[in-house]
Amino acid sequence: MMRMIFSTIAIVSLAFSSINAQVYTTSESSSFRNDSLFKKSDPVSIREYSFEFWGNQTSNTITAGFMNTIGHGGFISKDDLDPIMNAHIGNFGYLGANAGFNVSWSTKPREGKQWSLCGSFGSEVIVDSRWTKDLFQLIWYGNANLVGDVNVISGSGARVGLFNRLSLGGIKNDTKQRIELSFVQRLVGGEWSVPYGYFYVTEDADSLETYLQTEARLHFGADNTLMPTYGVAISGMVPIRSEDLPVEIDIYFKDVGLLFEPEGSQVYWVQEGISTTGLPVFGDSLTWENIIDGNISTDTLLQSGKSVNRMALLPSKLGATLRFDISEKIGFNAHVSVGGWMPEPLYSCGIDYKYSDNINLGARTKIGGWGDERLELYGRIDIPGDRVLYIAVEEPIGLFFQDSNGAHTTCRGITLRLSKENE
Amino acid sequence: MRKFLLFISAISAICIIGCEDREPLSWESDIFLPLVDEKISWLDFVEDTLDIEVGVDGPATIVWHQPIDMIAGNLAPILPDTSLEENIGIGNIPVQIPVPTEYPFIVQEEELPITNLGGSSGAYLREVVVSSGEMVFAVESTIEGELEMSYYLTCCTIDGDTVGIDLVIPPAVDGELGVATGSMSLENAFFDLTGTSGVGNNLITTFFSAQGSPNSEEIFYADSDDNIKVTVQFKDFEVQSALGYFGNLQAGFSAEEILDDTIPLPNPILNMEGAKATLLLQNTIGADLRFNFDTLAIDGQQLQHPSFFGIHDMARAQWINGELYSATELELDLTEDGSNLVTLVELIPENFKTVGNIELNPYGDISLGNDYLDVGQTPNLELLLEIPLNVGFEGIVLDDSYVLDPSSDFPEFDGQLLIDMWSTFPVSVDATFEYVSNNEEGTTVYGDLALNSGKLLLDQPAHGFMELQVDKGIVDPGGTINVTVYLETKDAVEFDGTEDIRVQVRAKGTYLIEE
Repeated sequence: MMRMIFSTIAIVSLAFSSINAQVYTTSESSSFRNDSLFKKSDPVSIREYSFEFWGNQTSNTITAGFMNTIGHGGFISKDDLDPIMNAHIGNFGYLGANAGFNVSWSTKPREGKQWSLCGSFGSEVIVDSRWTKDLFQLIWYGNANLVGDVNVISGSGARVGLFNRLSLGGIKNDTKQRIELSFVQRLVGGEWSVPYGYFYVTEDADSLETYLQTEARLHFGADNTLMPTYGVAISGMVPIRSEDLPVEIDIYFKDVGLLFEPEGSQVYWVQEGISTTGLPVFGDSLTWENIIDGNISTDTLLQSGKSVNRMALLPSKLGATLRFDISEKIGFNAHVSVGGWMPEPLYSCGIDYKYSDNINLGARTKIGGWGDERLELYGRIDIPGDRVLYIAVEEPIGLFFQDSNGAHTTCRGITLRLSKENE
Repeated sequence: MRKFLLFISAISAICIIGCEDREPLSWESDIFLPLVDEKISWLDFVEDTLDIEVGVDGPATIVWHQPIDMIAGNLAPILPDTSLEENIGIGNIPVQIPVPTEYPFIVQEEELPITNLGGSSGAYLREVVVSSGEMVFAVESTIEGELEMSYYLTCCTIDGDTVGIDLVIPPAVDGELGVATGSMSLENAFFDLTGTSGVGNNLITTFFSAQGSPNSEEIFYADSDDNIKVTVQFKDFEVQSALGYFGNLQAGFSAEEILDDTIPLPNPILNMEGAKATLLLQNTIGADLRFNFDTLAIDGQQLQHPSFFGIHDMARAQWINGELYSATELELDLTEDGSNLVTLVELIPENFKTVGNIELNPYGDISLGNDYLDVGQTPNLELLLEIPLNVGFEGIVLDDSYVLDPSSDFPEFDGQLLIDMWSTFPVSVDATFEYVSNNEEGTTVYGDLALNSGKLLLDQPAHGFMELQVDKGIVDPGGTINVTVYLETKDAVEFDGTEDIRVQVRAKGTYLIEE
């Protein structure tokens, strides 16, 4: 695995080697040492930087009120469940969360140089869960209203991971194209999935047939010690600008790469099917009595062990942003992104308004990702010293999730970004 | 199902359960699941000796195979407990002789006849294998020195080894005899009783030897007055197999059998057309047999039969090298003309009794000592009774029970048990369904169903449905589901044996899931 990492590093380093080489081969010595091959250079100074913090939780079905109810415990009535059930207009319910910080920077361009150094580092935790509508109904409502239908469980699952990233790369001074090589560490993680599963009871409950194939991986070592996993990826951005049109397009990609998982994760695997018309259950010596009495050896149902080496995809993210100035004061923006463990593409579009020379305000609607349609309000404040403070609040009322006013909300989130831009 | 769901929900719940000081989460789940799907048929009630053969073009037949235990043990030759006593000396030698320690000074081989075998039947044996038995040996010596002696039954082997015993006889001291005893098991011993010539019978061959013990420090002497008295007892013999002539023996028998496995037809009206009754005899002994029946009674009623009570001779079975090559069989038709058997079995019989005698070798020793018997293969006597399932009856016919174990599988269940029954019996059926809870009160819920006659040929079973309200108090402790089926016919009705009642129980209701 290390060989692969170093190979990848070497290839990427070669790609950037021409940039660094310019520093040494095209310079001329002057006052410092006339015969030197080296040139006295100015200290590296930061041209741009940004500090960004974000946290959001989105779902297309699960409301804050429902999560509060679960958090507080007690009896969950149909009144609590029905709105959630009704919100399952598709085949899947989603709930995801994403929080983290990122610091990015780039150096000042040097005269005559096409590229400047840039980099970033940050941490991010991602929670992704999804379930079929049938599974939700089986768990919370029972099967009584589902007889006669094949209840699909396939595709349900959940995963969580905490990722740290350190990136280094170059930014092209004229076009602002940026590319970085990222070293990614997954500090902890876990995942559970149901590749295949269904539950079927005939319309008259004459027979029951069910099959479940599920797998869980906990990325911990023996004695629950941390088992960090490392990977490499590339990130970058390609701005597209038009001299004729007031349109700005940014295409970006983040953490496109692989995670090299070592062996040793704890793996649990279940695969079992039951078919019965009552007593007895046919196949595999299963009977209701045995199931009820717990006489079934878990070995026949549950297998566990340690994982082997494998490569896994990082939670890569691809996206594009379009900005268009309608007038001097009003602008339009649209955004689409996929990946990052999001089950659906995330779309947004909105309008921003130049409130004053220093303040821009805007609103956009977002749909997709883990969530349903929601509103995001944002503001951009220019701070003396070429600094900009950006604040965005996604589904503002959702922030009051413990309040009755926010009980119906399914999403919430906040983003803070302080950046400095030297032109 | 709950475990299946809980397995999935538990994983989901991990994500949402983590707060302390919170109430346990609970919610209600509506279920509709199959619990029991069973068939009750005639075949559920026939075992072992009773069978129902499905009719192809006519009614099914109830078939009894009732073995009758009347012969076992009566015909096996009995080896009596036998005691042999020998006085052995050095003979009429006028002087004392020193007892040698290097070689035997007495060697004696003898043939001892078994004289009391089979009484006056003339029986004799050539070979016997005993499954158990014991040889007890005692010896008394007047010689004033320690002796070593051997006593072997040269006609007897166990696993190929000759059976015998070696003893050390202590010296006689001051008139006190030297006494030694020993015993050995003769389990699975093979006796060749043909003697040293190989053509005799009832002969036990023995070998005796004695010499001075090498442990004797001083030379000691024996004279003509010295005597070694040997007593051998054979006892508790059980014959496993025997070859010889078993004699002309007669033994009476009286056997009574209860027809345990009956079919529950209360107040039956049997249509006996096509009924068969046969007494099957099978001779597995390598000796001729003669049966003479004095009585055959069914439920106390004497059978009247034109030929049954005569003499029935059966030739011997053929045995080759201890293996049964062929047995002889005899079938006595109990329903031939002149028999009143049909009348006797018009009500399903419950008791069968037969009395008579059996004679061994009625024609004497015609095999010239080649009768053979293995007690593991005794002659069989069996009553085969076939009654067409063309009956009328009224009352409880079939019932069955299903146990629902106590469990917390459906906690706080509140709902209904849905019971469906499908009957293919060509008669009307009354069924009761009863759930007896294991709770302290033994709460019982029950219901009745009346089913019309099913149309088996048209594949249209009669259907009935009922609902029983149940709750956690009687479901959680578990219980027993009893299904009882009452059939009623006005006259005899033909059944083909495939009739059944399908019992389907489903649970529909709500139960509480708690974390």
